[in-house]
Amino acid sequence: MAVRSYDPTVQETVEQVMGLLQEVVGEEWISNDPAILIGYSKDNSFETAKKPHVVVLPENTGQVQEIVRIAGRFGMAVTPASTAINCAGGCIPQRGGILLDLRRMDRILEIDAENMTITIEPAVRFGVAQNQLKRQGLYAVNPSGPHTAGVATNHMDKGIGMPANKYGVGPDHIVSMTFVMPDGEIVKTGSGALPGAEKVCVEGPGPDMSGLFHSSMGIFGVMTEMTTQVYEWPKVEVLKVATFESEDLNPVTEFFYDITREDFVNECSHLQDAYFSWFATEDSEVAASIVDYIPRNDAIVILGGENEEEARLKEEQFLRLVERNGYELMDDGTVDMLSEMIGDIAYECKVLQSTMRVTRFYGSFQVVWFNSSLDRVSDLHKKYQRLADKHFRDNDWRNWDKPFPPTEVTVYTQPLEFGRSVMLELDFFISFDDSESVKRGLAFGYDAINMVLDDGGMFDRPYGGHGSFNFGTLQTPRLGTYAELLAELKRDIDPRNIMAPGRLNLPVSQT
Amino acid sequence: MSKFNRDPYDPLMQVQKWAYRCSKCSLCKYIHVYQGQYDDPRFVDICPSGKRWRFEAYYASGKQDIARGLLTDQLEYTDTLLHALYTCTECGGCMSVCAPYSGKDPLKTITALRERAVLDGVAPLPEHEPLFKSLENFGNPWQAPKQKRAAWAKKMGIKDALKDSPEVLFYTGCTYALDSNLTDTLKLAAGLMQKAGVDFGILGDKELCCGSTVLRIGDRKTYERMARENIEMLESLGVKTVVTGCAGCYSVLGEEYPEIQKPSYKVVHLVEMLAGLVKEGALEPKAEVAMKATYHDPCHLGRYCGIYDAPRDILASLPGLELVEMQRSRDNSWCCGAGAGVRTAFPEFAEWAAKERFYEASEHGAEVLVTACPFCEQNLRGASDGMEVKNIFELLASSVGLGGE
Repeated sequence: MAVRSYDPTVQETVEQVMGLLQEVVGEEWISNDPAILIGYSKDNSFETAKKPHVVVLPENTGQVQEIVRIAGRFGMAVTPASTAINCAGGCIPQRGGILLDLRRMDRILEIDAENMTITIEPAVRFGVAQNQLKRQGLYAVNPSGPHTAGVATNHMDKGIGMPANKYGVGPDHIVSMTFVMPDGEIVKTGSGALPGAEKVCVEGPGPDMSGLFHSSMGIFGVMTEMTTQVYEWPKVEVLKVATFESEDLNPVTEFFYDITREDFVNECSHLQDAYFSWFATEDSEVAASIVDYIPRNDAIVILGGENEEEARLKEEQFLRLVERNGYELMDDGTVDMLSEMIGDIAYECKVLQSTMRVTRFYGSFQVVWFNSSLDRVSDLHKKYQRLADKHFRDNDWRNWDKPFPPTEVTVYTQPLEFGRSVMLELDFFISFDDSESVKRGLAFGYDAINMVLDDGGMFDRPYGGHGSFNFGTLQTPRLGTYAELLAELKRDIDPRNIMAPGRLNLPVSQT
Repeated sequence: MSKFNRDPYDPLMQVQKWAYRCSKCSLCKYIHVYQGQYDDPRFVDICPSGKRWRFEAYYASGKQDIARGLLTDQLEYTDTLLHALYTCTECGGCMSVCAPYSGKDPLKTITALRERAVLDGVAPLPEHEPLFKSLENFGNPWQAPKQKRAAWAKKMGIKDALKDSPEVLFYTGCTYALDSNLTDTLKLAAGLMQKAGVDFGILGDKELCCGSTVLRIGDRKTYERMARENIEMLESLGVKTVVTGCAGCYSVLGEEYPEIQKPSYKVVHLVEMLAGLVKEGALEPKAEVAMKATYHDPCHLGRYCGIYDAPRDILASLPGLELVEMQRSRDNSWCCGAGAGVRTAFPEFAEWAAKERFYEASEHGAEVLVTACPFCEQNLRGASDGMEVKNIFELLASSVGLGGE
């Protein structure tokens, strides 16, 4: 068939494509009505709102293949969305075209308790997966996302850092993935690439290509199935909070280093007082009223074991580290009170499940979120505070309609992967109904991102992190040959550049 | 389509910040993840129109985008826009799951969108027209003559609230009083109060529609006129308490009217009063009500007004009744599909939502679905393939020896 060029302004082409797509999914699951399209045009990021030309809701991999082939014939862009709650513009169709809403593909295909894996479609959410897994004493690691986040895409695209270094990062859990490639053909990663060898091992026949798809945000194809590792739910769990009343973050980093080296916790994160109070409360006034009772730096740890004895031994180990690092232990009464306040919504990921609560402040929670080294945390935090002072000097977080001021800019830290590797969040708030705050947020964000890059931080997802804008425009030029090679691969795999074009800010082909 | 003037009183301007601050996290789509209440993935959706049509626009999050689109003149009204807007039952599920995390209320945007649509002349929908004409001609949405409103109470010896100065006004509501399938329930409800010695009266054919339906459809002007007429009448009675068995009337009388005028009377729902009377011993359920039942929380009673325990207390007091809870119960409840003019305009969808509820009830082992709202009762009965639907008043009445079961 002759290849036709696609002009998004030509309604006739769109209607022709729609006619073909209707034959695939049925009239009910496709729309180009403006009221439908606008629902996919904006997320909680600075990404400019863009509408697709058509929204399609396929039901299975076969339909996805047919849709991608039709798009290929017309050179029409395809932007996949699983649960469509990406907070970094990941599901915004930058070049219009087809928005592939995969939410009907939300089936758990298999839970293999013996192999400790779950096989899922892309729109299976943590809330659903976790409950089904728990029946078999298993759980999927939830990187503190809400229960509405998709398991598969969160793992593939490195959702927020894992709750402890022993889990590594999202893709470390993936056993295999099924992709519909830009030509409509299917590729499986891992040992599943060889028919009959599924779940034999995580690595595919070498050189392993799995990594190409990690954090690729759909530019190489549409992920329609994933098998991912799951873990045994500890029979006994203990929540402990170690506190450190100081602005100096160096002791925090050393404490985390000890925890990383000894590698015995199930979850570990560091919150500062303001965040802790927001997580614990539904109301900002209440948050303001309890914040003074919460120590400045709080290391929240969940210890788990097969039995009371194991949990007790881990607790003793933890207490040794607390003492060695000059921390104090939050008394059990306060921990119980805070747990109870958080408790009704904490489920999959304990304390961190309540993260959505931060969105109530001034509307939009923005994160400069990157990987760095523990050595740099304290310095980066101080620099970040200075930047915040420059941009947000006059704010008052106790008035819930204002983003918080520089003194309350907080840092959120999780040990990551190995050694002194750490995931760091530096957070700020803006409101999209206030254009002045958006301008200030953008200016602040660009300064902060450049600061991070100058100080050796890395954004492992080239398009940025939660709520962030196109970090890639700042980071990609620094990647040099690496970015050129990625761009060449993209050209080879997707010569018509139909898959999520513009997503990764790659040079040349991704203009 | 003419664009609206964005004056400060524009309903959409009132919710502008919510529309812009939606973080698109999708919490509005699914039930809370309370421990032990999220076990069955078939019953985790909380938004009926979203579950049915799946596109973003049918969920509360998509409504925020529509509001932004209208505010910025990016959108014009289309049939699809109105379909997405008016297949929402305004059940408040989105509000219930979003607000505790975000402090935002997506339902307010939906309400504002409907008010804006009415002001722009694209709503009420043609399907709603008979309802509005009926209100204009008969003072109720059921095209029934005013005189019929009092027919159910004949020979019951109930006081006339306009003449006899009772302590309590029993505000029956249009649906109970005018739907011939529900008037027996109303008689039993009144009978229960009589048996317990409550000093109550009714307005009979002088009772006015509370305005709930027009409010939910978005015609605030008509609603406010009706509300003011009602408030004037209720205040003139000198009653201490207004009790109603209708969830829709209850939420409007108790939650909305006070925004217009602080009432001199207390508003209670009949389940609250009856639960209290059972607890005090004024009503003694003795007869067996042998059944395995589940309680369907009406949205306007539960999520809108927070009444979850009183009906369950009544059911727990009935000898022989085994109460099983559905996964989607209390603030996680699944709407029956009738509310906010949906059953009038989209009966097939209302039936679909009701059938989902029966499916859930039956999967939880229930034989009977119990509710405390005339709209739920109407819609559920109409959609039932076999499962019995009972009003909680009927069950209590039968157990205290008032007939019925």
